[in-house]
Amino acid sequence: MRRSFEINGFKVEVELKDGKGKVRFDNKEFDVELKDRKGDKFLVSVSGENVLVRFVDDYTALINGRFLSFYVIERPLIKRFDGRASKMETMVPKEFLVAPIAGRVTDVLVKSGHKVSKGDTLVVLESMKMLIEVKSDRNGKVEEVLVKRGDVVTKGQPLIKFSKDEK
Amino acid sequence: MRILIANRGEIAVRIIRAIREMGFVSIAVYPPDEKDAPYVKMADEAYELSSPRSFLDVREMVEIAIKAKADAVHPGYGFLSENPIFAQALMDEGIIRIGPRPKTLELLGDKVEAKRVAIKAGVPTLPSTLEPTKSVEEALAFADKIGYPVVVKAVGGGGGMGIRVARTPEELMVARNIAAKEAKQAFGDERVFIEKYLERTKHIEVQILADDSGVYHLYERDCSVQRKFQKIIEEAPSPALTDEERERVASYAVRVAEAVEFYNAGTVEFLYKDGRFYFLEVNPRLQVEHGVTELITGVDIVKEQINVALKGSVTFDQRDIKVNGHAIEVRVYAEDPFSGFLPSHGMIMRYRPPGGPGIRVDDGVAEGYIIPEYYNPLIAKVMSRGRDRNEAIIRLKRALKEFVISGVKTNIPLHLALLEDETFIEGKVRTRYLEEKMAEIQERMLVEYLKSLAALAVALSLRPKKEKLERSLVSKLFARFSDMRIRRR
Repeated sequence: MRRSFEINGFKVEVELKDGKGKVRFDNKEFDVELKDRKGDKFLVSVSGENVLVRFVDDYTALINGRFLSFYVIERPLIKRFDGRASKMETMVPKEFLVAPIAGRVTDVLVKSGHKVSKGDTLVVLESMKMLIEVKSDRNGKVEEVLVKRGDVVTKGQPLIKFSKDEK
Repeated sequence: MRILIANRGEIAVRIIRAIREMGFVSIAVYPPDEKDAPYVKMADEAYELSSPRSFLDVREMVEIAIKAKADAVHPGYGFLSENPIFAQALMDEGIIRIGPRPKTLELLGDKVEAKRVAIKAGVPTLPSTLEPTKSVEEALAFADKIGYPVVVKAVGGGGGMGIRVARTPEELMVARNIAAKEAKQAFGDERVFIEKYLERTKHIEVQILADDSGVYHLYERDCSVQRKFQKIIEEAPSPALTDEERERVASYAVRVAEAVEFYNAGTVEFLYKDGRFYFLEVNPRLQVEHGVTELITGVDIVKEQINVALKGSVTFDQRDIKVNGHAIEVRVYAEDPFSGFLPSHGMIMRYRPPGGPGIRVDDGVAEGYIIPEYYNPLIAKVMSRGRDRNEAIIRLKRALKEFVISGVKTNIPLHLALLEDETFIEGKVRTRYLEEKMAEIQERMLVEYLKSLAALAVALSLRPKKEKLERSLVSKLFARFSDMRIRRR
């Protein structure tokens, strides 16, 4: 059996055969085994560790003594390229540095052509009354600055475009 | 007696509780979009403000206090709580301000001036410029003299804003500008000064209460678990101090408070390293983390504040103050610990705070409440008290696991990971520990969380749809909310 979900924002793929199998996340994988089941109570071994899951209702489970609220979106296994799927996974190409949070640009510390190192502050945003330094995630060269002081940006909006050739 | 609370959220709720216990009338003020917030509903009376920014507007706040016929105003923390102009304006109208005198606020609002007073009182401090630096050149020259790393601090700073550490001259140039800008924005004062930065210190603060007869202390809190100079976990007493050190830091705090003729409640902050304390600043207001001190001393600090303001005296004696057990507090924020701790705004769908032995929750939210974007996203402070530190930790973990919150993401997974952290359990966390160990702690937190989700995913896969629990009315309603939420994503 193969199922695919999104739980609390995490993409999960479950592969089970006779109660044994694997659960995959984007970059983590666990061996799982159903040890016991009574009604809405499941004892699952995850990487050899016993985890007790009890459903309290459709949105809450008691997992090893902790109430976990969850929401589930069932995902089709074969990715359909309809509008909904593409909206959920808006991909930003790698050469952009994006805003980590919605806010107002209070400072741009680089110009196109500047060479920058990983960790350098490139843009300063104001959000929630705090100044947030947006730092370079690479060593590279700025090709274009896409925002200016005073601009209001949304989360995920590209701020800086890096040159492709220099990494 | 009518007392107006010039604040919102959990601290407004906390103050209303004290006012009610004392048999006085509580008056809330609220911005237009918060008229359904719990603190508004809980107060005996409530007055609408013109905008969310009104909490910072001295004139509007004084006018509303007059309109509400308030006899006294409690400012809470943040907003106008340390503003001497507000304090003076209330005094001029004959309204009692619950807190220190305007003169004291003015003096302590200037961090450099406060340091000078401490030095004069014979309390140790860290080397720093004793005037605000006027230029980048002056800052660089001073840093050269005392050696890096240094910390740039806003003269009028507080709450972790306007503070930047610099390890090189290049960093100092950037840090000075950013700190100045942040300070200007937050406090309307861009002056900064430079102080020697001590690595791996403990942040120790002493709770004080002062009345007509003198200054009292309620021992210390340890607030060393910080992220970006914001406190995340606070506890009392500090697990790192010996009894002699505990008495010593308390006496330093009393000395500083006496030197500034302190009145009402405040906190004297110190850094601690290798048996030495260094005075940092005095916060002339109620602290967010005052609850842990209340849990171990049994003193209701807010009621004492009101007593001092109205009658000029506290209701205890220094001899009565004993440290009894251990208390820990975590701040539960609406933020996403799995994507850079960015604020997670939205409506709280379900809310059931923990309880039971040794647990206290100070909160200001309820189901259906929308976390507003323009304030700090604090949902609740969860506190535990145990006979000893170990019991307090166990209780706090149990409580955090009981906490049901849905609709917004919270930093509870981080707290659970921290409470399992060996360095924390040993009581050896120093400031900047989180920054240094964040990658490791986050990884542990993620793996723990994903393991839970993995087990849940298996259970969900094996649970046939028709076998789902019968939906109660509440969960049906909730289902509609959560469908709406998913569609919005």
